[in-house]
Amino acid sequence: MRKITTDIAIVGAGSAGLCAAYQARSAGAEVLVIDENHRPGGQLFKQLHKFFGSSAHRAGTRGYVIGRELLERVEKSGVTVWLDSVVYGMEKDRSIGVIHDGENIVVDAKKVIVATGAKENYMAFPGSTLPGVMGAGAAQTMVNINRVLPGKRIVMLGSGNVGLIVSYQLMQAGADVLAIVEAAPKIGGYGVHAGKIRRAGVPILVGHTITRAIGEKEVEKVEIAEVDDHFRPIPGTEQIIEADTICLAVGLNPMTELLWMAGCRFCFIPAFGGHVPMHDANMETTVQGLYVAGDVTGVEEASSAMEEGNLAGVSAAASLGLLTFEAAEERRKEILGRLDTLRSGMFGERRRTAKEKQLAETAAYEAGRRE
Amino acid sequence: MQDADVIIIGGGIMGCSIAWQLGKYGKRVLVLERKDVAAGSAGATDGVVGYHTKRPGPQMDLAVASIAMFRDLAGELGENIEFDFTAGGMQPAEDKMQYDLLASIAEEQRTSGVDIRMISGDEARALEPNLADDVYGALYCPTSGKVNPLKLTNAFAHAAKRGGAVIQTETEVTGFLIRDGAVKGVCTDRGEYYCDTVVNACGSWAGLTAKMAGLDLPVTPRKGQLAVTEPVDFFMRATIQCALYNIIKFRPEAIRDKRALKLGASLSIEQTENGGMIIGSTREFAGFEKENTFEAIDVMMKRAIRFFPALENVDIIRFFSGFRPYTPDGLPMLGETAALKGFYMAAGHEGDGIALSPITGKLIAELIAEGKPSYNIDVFSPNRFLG
Repeated sequence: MRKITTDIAIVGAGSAGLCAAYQARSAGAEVLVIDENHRPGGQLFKQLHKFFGSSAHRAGTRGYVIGRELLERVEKSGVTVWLDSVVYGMEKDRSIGVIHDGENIVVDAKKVIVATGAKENYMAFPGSTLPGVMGAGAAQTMVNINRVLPGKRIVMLGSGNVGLIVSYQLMQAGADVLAIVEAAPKIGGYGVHAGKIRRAGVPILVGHTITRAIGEKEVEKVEIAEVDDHFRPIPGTEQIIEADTICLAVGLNPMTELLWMAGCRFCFIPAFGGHVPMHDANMETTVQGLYVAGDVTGVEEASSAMEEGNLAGVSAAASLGLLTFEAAEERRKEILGRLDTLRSGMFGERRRTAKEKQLAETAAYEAGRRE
Repeated sequence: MQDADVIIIGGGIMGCSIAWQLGKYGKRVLVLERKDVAAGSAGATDGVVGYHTKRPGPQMDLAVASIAMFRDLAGELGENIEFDFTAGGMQPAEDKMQYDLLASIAEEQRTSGVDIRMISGDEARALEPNLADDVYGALYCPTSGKVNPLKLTNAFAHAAKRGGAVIQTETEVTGFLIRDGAVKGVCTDRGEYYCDTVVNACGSWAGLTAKMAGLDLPVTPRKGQLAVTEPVDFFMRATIQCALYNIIKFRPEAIRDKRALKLGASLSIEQTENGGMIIGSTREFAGFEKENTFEAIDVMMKRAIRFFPALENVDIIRFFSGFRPYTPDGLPMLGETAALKGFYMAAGHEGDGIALSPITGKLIAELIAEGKPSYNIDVFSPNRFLG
């Protein structure tokens, strides 16, 4: 078991991790980014669609282009990136256990930034363990990264942006999306995405759920039904759809395992996907020297993740004395301004309230600890 | 008013086994458990039910009596406890020195009439084909078995309840009511419960519980770290410990590797019914610190691959740890304390608690209900530490 040291170790080379790495490296820190995937960029490389929002956040640019630019910037800056490397644990002293190139290495960093993102929620129903039932994100990886169709005839469960966008991309890749099934009485995602789907002739069945997947060795049919006000299936409303694939787009939850191991305090914020780590305005958790950024702090979207990454990178570098207080404050102010814009408007308000609650709970906890 | 004939402290494998057995005598039993049934060591261990890991002498005799009970246990408890009594137990040795040490331990163990043999490397590989090519030889015990400790503990608890026992969880003991040198009740965070007989079945926490009764009994936690793999196809039948397991346990002076000695690290591995493998383990003195450590994981994983090279490509899905109740002489404390009438000990089995749980329940119940167990347990008396 070899031990190595570095200034800043970052777990996760997605939107947040890459931004954090660039900021910290630009300030002069020695930075190591670790990711278990074969290629960096996290979810960005799956996103063939154009981003929304303001020009500061690359509206109109496709996700994978943003990912490529981030990556080039990081590579040029002199950050060390370990890919295909699994972080399997964190001890209380924030040291990280990594399997890299078949070797067990313990990374002892002065500061650690966890940017592990989120994972898909699962929904259980009879037949949900049959091959052919998968997360919508997994289906997206298959078509957009690996260029493999997960199936020919697809039923999507969930009409949030993930469900809508992945449905459209599956159709672009040549699959038939037979229906988008949504238990809520209205569509969850942006109207512009839903409009595209509808124009392509795909029914979005609100007030419906999947009650059963039918098949011997794999999905052959899907049974759906209408639901009542309490989301219970209404007997007698069942319909059978001949499909070979069910995609579940029923939300995400933060990948917080490392933070629990390290002893971080958590708060419960349903709008962010459940238990999320407490952190202050500098993205530092209740464990000193351990920072977080991106969806692991609460599920939002890529632009916010990038800005949180920027913030964590600047803060970690500043705490190492690599930036003057004034310089760090100035950068933080700019970043917070952009984050503020992202967390406004019809869809952003809910996230702004959630983030304010998270920061307030952290402040209350820290105040209690000082007493 | 008495709340129960017997109050058992601890809803682990010992407490539940004793509660079940006492019910057979018509005793009114109340089990007080701080967390939940099997929340402690019984839910954080592997399931070796073997003779070959037992100390020669009285502990081995206890194991022989206990393992005999396992044969009919599932039927009696009416539940599947995933017991496989012909799985076998094996301890592969890396070289002649380890082999000879095992052979000398086995010779002592055989005086209890158990079938523990020494076999060649080829014989060992014939039994377990995934074993490494260079294994020198092995100790083998064909009649050792394995069980699911979590299911066993719950089965004891269910049977105890059917027999009339009350198992009250989330109740923490805070002290004892004592009068004229005899225990009269138990104080908890939920109030007081009156009785004349108390059994301390708190496993690694038994020393702390005894202290509340003014008794200084040396039961201390010894941490064992373990890993669980993803489920795989059939890989191994026997429960396997590397030779260091018995050598650390019975001949620690022969260990040269300082890290192995400090961590008490040896390989212990078994495949469970669902295909996942449990890989351990360590024996560390770290108080009640439960964390998994990179150092221990490194030692355990390397040891696992050293004996089973094919494991290199199997993923670990989880690490966990549990506490083994250690006593200075390696023997459990069973029986009433002379210093405090009505206060019984049933703890300190270290790594042998799962295998010894049926007999412990039976003997303690006999002792309480009939005044005398069917089998002499004087050597395990807690009074040996109370001078």
